[in-house]
Amino acid sequence: MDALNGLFYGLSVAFEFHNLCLLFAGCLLGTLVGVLPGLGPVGAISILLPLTFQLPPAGAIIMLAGIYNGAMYGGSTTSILINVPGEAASAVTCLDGYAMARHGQAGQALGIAVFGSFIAGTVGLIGLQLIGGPLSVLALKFGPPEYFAIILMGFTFIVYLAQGSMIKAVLMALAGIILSLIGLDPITSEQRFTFGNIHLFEGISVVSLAIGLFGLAEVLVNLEKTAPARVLQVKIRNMFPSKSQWLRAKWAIVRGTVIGFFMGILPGGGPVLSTFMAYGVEKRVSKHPEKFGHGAIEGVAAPESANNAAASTSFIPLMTLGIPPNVVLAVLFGAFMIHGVTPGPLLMTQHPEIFWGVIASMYMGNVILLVLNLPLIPLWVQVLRIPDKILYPLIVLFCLLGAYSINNSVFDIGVMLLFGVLGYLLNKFDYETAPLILGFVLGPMFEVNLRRSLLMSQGSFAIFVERPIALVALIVCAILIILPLIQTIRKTSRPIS
Amino acid sequence: MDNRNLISGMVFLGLSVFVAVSSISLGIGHLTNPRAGFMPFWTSLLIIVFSLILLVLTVANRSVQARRVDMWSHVHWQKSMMAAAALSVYVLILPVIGYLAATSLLMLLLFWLSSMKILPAVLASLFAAVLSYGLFSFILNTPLPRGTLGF
Repeated sequence: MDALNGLFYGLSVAFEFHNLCLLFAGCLLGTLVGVLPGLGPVGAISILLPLTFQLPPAGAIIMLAGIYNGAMYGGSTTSILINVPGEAASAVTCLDGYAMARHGQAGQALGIAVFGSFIAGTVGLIGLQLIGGPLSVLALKFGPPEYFAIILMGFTFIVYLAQGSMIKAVLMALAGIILSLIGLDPITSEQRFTFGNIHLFEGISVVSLAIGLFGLAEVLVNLEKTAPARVLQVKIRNMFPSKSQWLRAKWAIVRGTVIGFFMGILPGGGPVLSTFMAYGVEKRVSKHPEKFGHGAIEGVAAPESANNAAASTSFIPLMTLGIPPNVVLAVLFGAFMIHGVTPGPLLMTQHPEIFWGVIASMYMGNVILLVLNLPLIPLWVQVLRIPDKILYPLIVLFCLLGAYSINNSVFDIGVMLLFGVLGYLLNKFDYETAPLILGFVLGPMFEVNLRRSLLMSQGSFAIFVERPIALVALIVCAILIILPLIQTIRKTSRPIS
Repeated sequence: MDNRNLISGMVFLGLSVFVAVSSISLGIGHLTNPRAGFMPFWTSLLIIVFSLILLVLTVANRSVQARRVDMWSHVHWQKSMMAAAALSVYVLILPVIGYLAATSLLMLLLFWLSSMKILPAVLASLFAAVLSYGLFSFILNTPLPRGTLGF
């Protein structure tokens, strides 16, 4: 099925009444979650996952993708109005969005964020539609050595693009791999680190882990804060940016879209990092960089475009290679598996209704979100006024129910609690949790492909350099490892002036 | 020196040594036939290396950026700890007294911890527990623990 026929087929799936309702519900819930500070898309998808258990896989994934995109749109509202990002990918928007709101331009800031998101999200989807098919066909030729090398490249990117210490990011990714090894050995079915506990035979549930690290931990971190965030008392009048604002923002949207497009595909990149990069580039190319941080509309347009483009294109590696490039997609990977669908090169042929249905529904979701966001912003402002004393206990309740519903097991609540406390402590000790969950999801694939490759080659590592794709991936790994080393050596050898 | 790196580095070191030793008993195998302990062993070995690097760098940088980070001042960490403790008790009593009673009690404590007055907290906790029970039991068909009380 070519890209155009695939899209038409996908539209026929997405236009089915129940899928349309699920998409709408997903977009609405996602925006709500994106608006609320303290619960990002990872927590939201994990917590709301049980709601999809009774649904057919296509509808469930359509709804979850709607939640993800909705959260990307909704996050900017909180950043602009209370200077607290609704989710990490909107953190940069605070800088100029809040400044614009204080200057009485909250409407225009929200407006450009929504329009930029729509344009970039749509461009990202076109990329997903065009690249997805050919990449799936190519990926069918991959064997264990290629997969091993690509996953290794993914790990290297995750560490290279880490926002804090690289050593800590490595430790987190490795810890994630170790956690993923709990359970039965995938090749010999021997028990590993189960301590005889029957609940651990199938390993730790990715959903319990994600809810703990990204839902409960967030609540615990927020509970200890002494001062709650305050919503700016502004009247939102005109949400359509003026002609001069459009002229200033148009190239920011273009550049943000391009950056987001490529960062979304890169493992470890994703929406969050793309916003920082887009903002940095915009500031660098601007004739008035001094205006950034004081209400420059480009400072809102670029990151908001980047995070939505990245959100769309991050589906490319997941749906074609079966490799989640960022933490949200890692949880979505878990959701696919729970619904009995394995994302990867066979997805397009075995489940075309999901592959094309999700792509088509994301196009429609972009339109729904554009329509939903502009008129509903006053409603989201009211949502922001929900006091923390009501919000946080309710999030905890959803976390409990989300963890329990996976296997109807209290044990999973215990696991979620354990990782909630761990996430809280990791936050205190300045560790990022994203590499951990990526290590956790990629770990089993990494192990199986390494062991199968070694079995194929009778213990020779030459198999990884004899296959061109694996070799290219390993060269990229080497470059990514050598680059920071060179930078460190240069820094240390520079004489102190 | 950043005390956070020192503490976390040691914790990583200790845990990875445990994993490495356990992996040996699982059987590491050979490159021609890697066994169940192969991956955990080499991964834990890498953790040992990187936690040692973290520790060495932290100690080496003590003169450059001598700082001790106080993670517990200026925050109400007691609230977070109490919430975590309440959740631990919840996990233990949930199968015994059932979802409705256990969740009502937990929510009451959480609302109270979030500085809600006692009467609204009681009402809100009952409302949240009953509503979620109805949603999950009757609409989503998720059997919630009933316990000895039968609900």
